[in-house]
Amino acid sequence: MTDSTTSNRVARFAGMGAIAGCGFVALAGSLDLLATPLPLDDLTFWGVLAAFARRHSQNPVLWVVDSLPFVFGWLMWQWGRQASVRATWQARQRRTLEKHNRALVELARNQQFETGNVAATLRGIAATAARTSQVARVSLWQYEDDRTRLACLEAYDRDRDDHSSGTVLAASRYPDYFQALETERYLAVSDAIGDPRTQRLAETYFIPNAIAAVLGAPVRLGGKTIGLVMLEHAETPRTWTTEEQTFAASIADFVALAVQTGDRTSAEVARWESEERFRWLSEATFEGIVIHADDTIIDTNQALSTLFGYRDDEFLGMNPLELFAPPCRDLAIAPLRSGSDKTLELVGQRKDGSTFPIEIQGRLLPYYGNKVRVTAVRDITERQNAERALRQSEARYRAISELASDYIYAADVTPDGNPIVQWATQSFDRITGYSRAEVEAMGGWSAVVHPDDRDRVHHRFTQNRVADWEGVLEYRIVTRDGETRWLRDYARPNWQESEGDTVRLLGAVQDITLSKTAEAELYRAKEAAETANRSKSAFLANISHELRTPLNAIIGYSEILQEEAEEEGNTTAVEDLQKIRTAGNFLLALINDILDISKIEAGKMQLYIEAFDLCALIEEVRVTLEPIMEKNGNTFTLECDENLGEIEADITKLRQVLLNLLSNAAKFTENGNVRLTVRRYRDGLEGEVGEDVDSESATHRFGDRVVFKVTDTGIGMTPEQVAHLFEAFTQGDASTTRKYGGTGLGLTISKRYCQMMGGDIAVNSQVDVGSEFTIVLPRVLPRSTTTG
Amino acid sequence: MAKILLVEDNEMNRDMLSRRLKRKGHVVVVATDGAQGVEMSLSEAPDLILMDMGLPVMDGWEATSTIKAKPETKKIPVIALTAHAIAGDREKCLAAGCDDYDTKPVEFPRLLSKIEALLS
Repeated sequence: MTDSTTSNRVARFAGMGAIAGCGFVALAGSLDLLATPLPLDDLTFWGVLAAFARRHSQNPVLWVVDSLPFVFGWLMWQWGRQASVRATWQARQRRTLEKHNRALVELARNQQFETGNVAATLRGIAATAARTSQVARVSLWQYEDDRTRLACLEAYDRDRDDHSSGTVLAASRYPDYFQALETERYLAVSDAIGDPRTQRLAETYFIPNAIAAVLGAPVRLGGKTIGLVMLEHAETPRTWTTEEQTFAASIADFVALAVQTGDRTSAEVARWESEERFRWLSEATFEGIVIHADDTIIDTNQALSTLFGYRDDEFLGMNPLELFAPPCRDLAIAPLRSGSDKTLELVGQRKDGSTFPIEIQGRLLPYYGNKVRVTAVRDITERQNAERALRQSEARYRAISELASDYIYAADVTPDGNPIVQWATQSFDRITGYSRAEVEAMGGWSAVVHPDDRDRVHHRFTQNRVADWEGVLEYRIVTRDGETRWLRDYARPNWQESEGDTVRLLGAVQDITLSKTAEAELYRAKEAAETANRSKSAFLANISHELRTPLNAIIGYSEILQEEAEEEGNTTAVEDLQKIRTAGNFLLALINDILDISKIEAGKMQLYIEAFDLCALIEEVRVTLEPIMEKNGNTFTLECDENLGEIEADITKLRQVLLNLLSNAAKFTENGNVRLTVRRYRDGLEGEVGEDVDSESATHRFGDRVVFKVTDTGIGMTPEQVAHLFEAFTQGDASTTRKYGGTGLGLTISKRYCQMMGGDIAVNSQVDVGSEFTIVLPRVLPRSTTTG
Repeated sequence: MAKILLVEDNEMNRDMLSRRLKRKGHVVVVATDGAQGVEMSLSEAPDLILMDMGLPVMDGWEATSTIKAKPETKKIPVIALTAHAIAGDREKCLAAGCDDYDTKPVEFPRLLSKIEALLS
């Protein structure tokens, strides 16, 4: 309410009082006139006025009556003023309250309460309180350390619009103040510097901040005073109204609310964060996690779904036992229900019924106020496989170590070349008879090495040799029993484990005593065998000579006797003697063949290569064969290139080969034809001997060569017979031998001779059609094959 | 007919060969070792010598070289006789101065033709 309205109102009240007084005077005059009428001799204004004057002189009370309008007017003015002042005060009071209320409503609406940001909320409260209550500063305090200190949470300076905090007041220093705060409902101090309750604060707090009066209201929370709201008035002392006190109290309530909200919000944030963290952690882990209360799953993580093949929502309400294979459910009950956090290996069962090894571990944890069990489930398939593999590998290693006759070692080779064995597998002890420690005590490995080998071993182990050594060394050691053993030591340097001036050697040692013994025996046996073989060759040479000498006598004398019998005409004797001769000649041929084949097999057959005229040889052969051809009624055809020229070969052996092939042909052909063709080729493929020709002679097949073909129209051979034709001591079959005779060595010898001369023999045959033997010989024998 | 000196240590061979040669009309004198052979080649002055190579006292090769080294005997043809045709023997024999070579056991007709060839 403005001042003008107030003065109008007061004037109106004064006027109303004056009018009322006038009315009363008029009424009193009228009554007086009625009682004693006024002599109206002069009805002019002045006459009437004179009459009233007379009356007033007659009755002085009238003067008093006449003063009533003034008195009433004054009284009304006074009253109106009083009422106006009271109204103004009430209006101001109402305005203050309204202002307070608006401020409080605003505060209450302040969303900062929701955020839980206590500091921001308190800043808002302090600023609002200061602006609303028009004080210079508002400070908010909190008790600390069992109410022995007050800490300033917030101080707002209205003029400077400045927030500060941090001041701390100790009870020990300001006992009066703390005492007053304890005992009084409000601390309304008009003169802060003079008041004994707050006097002690003057120097440190009021004077620096220019504070003259303070109003403190306690902040209560849960029946406890937790702090203080302080309205601080600057410059001059003043009194504090009840409204202000109430307002301070309300502010205090807001502070309490803010603190409480802050606490609660922090707690909620903390819980939310921890839940989120739990979820995040549980999703991040590869372990399945089951949260269950007794027999019901409450929560799970993604990994569990992956492990067991259920959807997240399918787990909820399930019995956790269903996650285990039926046989191990009984085992699972106890740990699932107990608070034990021991791990347990079980078998898990997926939704599809398949099983897999798992390990579970859990503990009881509070979960939204309840104790639940959190069980972690790990898939240990891989671990079990790894463990199994490890066990197997260990077992294998152990078996190797225990069973192997060899041993593996690591040794540090000292700069002077002495290996100190650092570790070795079991056979070390078995082979050496010493333990590793004993060998070390004896001064290292060199002490065990056989004295005769020590220098050699030492030489090899000397470091600069060890360094590039990846090799094998064989040497002897002397075992504890004094036995000499041969070792084969495979070793290589291991640089990763070498330190300083020692070289780490990794090696495997094999006891080769037996093989060394066997080797020695083998050597002796070989020597013996070679000696025996030489003896055998000598024996064969001797025996063949010894066999031939009497045979020569038999054949020779039978020839003489036959000649004499022919002269005497004793035909019977001639025939018998002819049989003796034939048998003798056959035996001689057999002995010769056996001697040849023995020499060939022993590699002792020698070639005597010379150049000779091929035509001359062929003619000689033809002449020799003529009687044999005639014997079976065969014709012999010779087709020979005219310009065969000379050939370099062993003439004796070539003659023997040709005679052998041709006499065979004659022998197995009756009333047929035997043909010998001899051709010389200088290049190309003509005269191929066939696939039998080995690659060594292949170079000659295409060069300057002579090809002999012996073709007959005889009994021929089956492929089986052909296959074994050139093997020693075989003929077509046993019956062949009976029917046709022969040693069965001829073709073997022939083939070997041809091969020795750089050529070969091949055969092509058909039963009942005939056979064709082809000999290819190089015209000039390469030097390398001059010996057999 | 010719006078043939047969140098042969083996009695049976000596007997056989000499009998067969005699029956062909030749005169046969025999020696049983190389040294005797050399001696008789001088004393008997044969038309031809059949020389076994494996002989005691002095072997056939040495005996042949000795005979061929002496002007009195060097023109007498020598046919070497060796046991089974051991390759190389022929060369060895020819190197020692033999005029021909044949193998034992003797194939008599062949030997006869070689003898006749050298005597003619």
